[in-house]
Amino acid sequence: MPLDRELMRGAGPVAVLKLLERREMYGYELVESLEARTEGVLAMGQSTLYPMLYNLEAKRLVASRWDESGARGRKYYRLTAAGKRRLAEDSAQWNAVTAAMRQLGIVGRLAASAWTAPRPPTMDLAHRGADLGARLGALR
Amino acid sequence: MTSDRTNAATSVGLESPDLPAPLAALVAEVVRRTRLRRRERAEIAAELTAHFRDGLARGRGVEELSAAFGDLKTSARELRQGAIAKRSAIDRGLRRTLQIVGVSIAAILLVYLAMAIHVARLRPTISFDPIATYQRLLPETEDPAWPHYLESLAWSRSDATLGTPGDPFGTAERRNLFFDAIDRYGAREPGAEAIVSANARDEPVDPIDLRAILAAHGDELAILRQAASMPVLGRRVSTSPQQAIAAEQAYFGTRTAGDVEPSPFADLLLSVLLPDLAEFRHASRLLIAEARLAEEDGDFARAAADLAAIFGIARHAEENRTLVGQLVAAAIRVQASRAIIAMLETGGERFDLDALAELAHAVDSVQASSLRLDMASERLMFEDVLQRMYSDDGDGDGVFIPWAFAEFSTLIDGSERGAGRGSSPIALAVGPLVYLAPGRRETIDQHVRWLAAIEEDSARPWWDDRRTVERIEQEVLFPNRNAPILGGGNVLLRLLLPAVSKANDNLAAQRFDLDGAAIAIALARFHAVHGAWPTSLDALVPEFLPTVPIDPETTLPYRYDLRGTGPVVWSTGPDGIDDGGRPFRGTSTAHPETNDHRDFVRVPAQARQAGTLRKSVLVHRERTGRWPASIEELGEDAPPVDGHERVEYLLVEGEPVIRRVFEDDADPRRRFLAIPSPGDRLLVEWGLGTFGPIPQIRRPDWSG
Repeated sequence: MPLDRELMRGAGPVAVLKLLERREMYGYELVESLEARTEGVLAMGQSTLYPMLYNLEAKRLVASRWDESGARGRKYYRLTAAGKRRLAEDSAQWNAVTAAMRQLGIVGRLAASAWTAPRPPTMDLAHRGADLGARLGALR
Repeated sequence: MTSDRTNAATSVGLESPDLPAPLAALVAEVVRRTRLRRRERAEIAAELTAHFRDGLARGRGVEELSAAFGDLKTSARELRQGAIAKRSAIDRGLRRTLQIVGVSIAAILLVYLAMAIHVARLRPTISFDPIATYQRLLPETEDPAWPHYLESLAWSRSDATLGTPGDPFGTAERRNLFFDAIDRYGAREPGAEAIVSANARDEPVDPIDLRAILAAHGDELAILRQAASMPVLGRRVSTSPQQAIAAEQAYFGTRTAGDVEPSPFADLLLSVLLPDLAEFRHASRLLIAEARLAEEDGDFARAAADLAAIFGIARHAEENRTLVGQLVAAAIRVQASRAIIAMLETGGERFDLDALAELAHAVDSVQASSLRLDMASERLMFEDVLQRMYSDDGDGDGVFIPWAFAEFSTLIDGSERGAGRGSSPIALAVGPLVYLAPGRRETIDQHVRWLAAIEEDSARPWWDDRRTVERIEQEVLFPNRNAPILGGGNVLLRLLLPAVSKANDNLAAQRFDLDGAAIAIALARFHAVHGAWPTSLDALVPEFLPTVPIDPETTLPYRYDLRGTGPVVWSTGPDGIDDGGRPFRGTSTAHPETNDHRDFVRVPAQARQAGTLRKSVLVHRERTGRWPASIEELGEDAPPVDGHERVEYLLVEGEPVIRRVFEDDADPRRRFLAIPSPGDRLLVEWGLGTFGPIPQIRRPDWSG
């Protein structure tokens, strides 16, 4: 289930920061990871991701570099110190929101309906495979 | 190997050559749509290219990647916003400022355009008929003097009589010689006597016999004196030459109607023609010359009648209540006053009491209103121009219409009519600026205030603070530089306010000559009654003067002294220092320190010396057939010597010369008075002791 635009605006950046917490990543890698690790909920296209990255970079929460050591040049994004602080703050806030939603019984029902929704198996497999590929790539 | 992103972006460029064509086109298009700076676009292109290459490497198809990219327009917009967010704070601030400025300018331009269109549609409204309003200012009469003027002057002024039987001139050139002759003869200029029988310019033409010409037109001159005595001139005015002189066509002939183009603003008060003023000037000169001939004939009653009549002519000249009319009247009165003083100076005792009483009455009849500014027609003229230059909101206010003004100006200049100025691009561009110019009501109010202040100031006596007029003039001519554009001085006020301070002084300065004439007449009457000169001016009161006139320069009575040659009356001048009646000789640039140390002599006695000497010299020549070699040769006929000047006589290359030399006068250039002229004529300059400019005459170098 694709996320509402407004929700994505609030959740997207913190999700990107979270993905960059462990290591630096390039754009396509971020797209793949978001889609795989959130079961497609926070999947976003290039037209959303790159402007979001530019904004995070403008706020100095992430930093970027071009790496042309491989066959193809890539632009890598990494978390800055400010980004780490912001991630900690946003995580605390999301936890509070999630707890509050759970108290209200919103999170439970929403989760149930989301997980019961049928998903095409080929897509599911493909995403999982991509996710796995991404993890392996990251490990390499 | 890692390089910085700038180098990467630059190396990548805007093209994506290793991508499949659809994806390369997609990148190119979305990058183009971002409308970002080249470096930013290059970086985005590089990143998207890398993104697609990664996608292809993962085995995704071109179409799938294209579809996942999303809407081009939205992508481009968000990429643009993201890239702009990355710019520096200064960069973004500058961009924001430019946006605000741009929007503001656009808004202002829109408002400006709307105003320009509004202003371009403005048109002046003519709300009153200025000529009819002006006519109501003029006195009504059943018996106007003007036709009598025409009748009495036609022989010497009308083109219609020129060359007809009985015309004394024959040609316009000879008539001009006659005008010249009466001017110089009446003003007692050097050489003027010679004009009576010969042409002063020594041109080979028939002499102008002034005496014969004037004698032949005695009837007309009598009509002229009669016209001058009538209460109202009654000349109707018009702006159309044809209309203005329709009844006077025979008189003016081609002189006015043929030469004057009808005014493009035929009903504009500024276009009102006053050809009569030139006739009054001529008439007064004619009578001054006639008075002098009468004096030489010994007909002092006629001389007095001539001079008295000139004051009536002056009264008629200012009947039109225009500034120019007032100034012409003032000039005429000053001429007449000086003629009276000059005539009484050389023979006041020969006038009988009736003649003197007539002169006294004429001088006394000058009204105080003739000595101060009357702005009635100026006020009306301004309002008339204003109604053609301003829009009218129906409530007395409106805005200045520049193209109406420009059209008016070009018409006044006689250039081409500027049609449709309101719709020209330049007019549209500058149009709304009219709101910065003073409005109709403000301009009228200012003008009314100023004219009232000017009139009030002008009514004050000479010794009072009369600088308001000057201040207003300065304010109009040199407006406050800090005032807003176009508001720093009203264009119309600046253009239309006449040279009031000079006119104000000219009108008030008549007082000096009128006082001089009044005192000279009273002295002559005293002498006629008592056979001697009074010991003081007080002795003239009340029999010959109601009061002793106050010297406007000092607010004290005029100074009086009885010299060997007769009485002298003078003002100490603005310095207040009594120099014993030593005459003011004009401004010396060589010796400026001497300028203040002179008095203004109102009734001079000095000229008597030169006059007496001249007569003695002429009698001597008649008797002996030659010029005297020196003043001593005249014996008892030599004139007495005055305290401040002496008269010298000498022969220069066989020509007799009489000159007045002022004692302790260091500037030799001012030591002249009588100069020789070709032939055996003896020339004497008269009347220089009176207040006023020194006539332009030839001044030989007498410094040796």
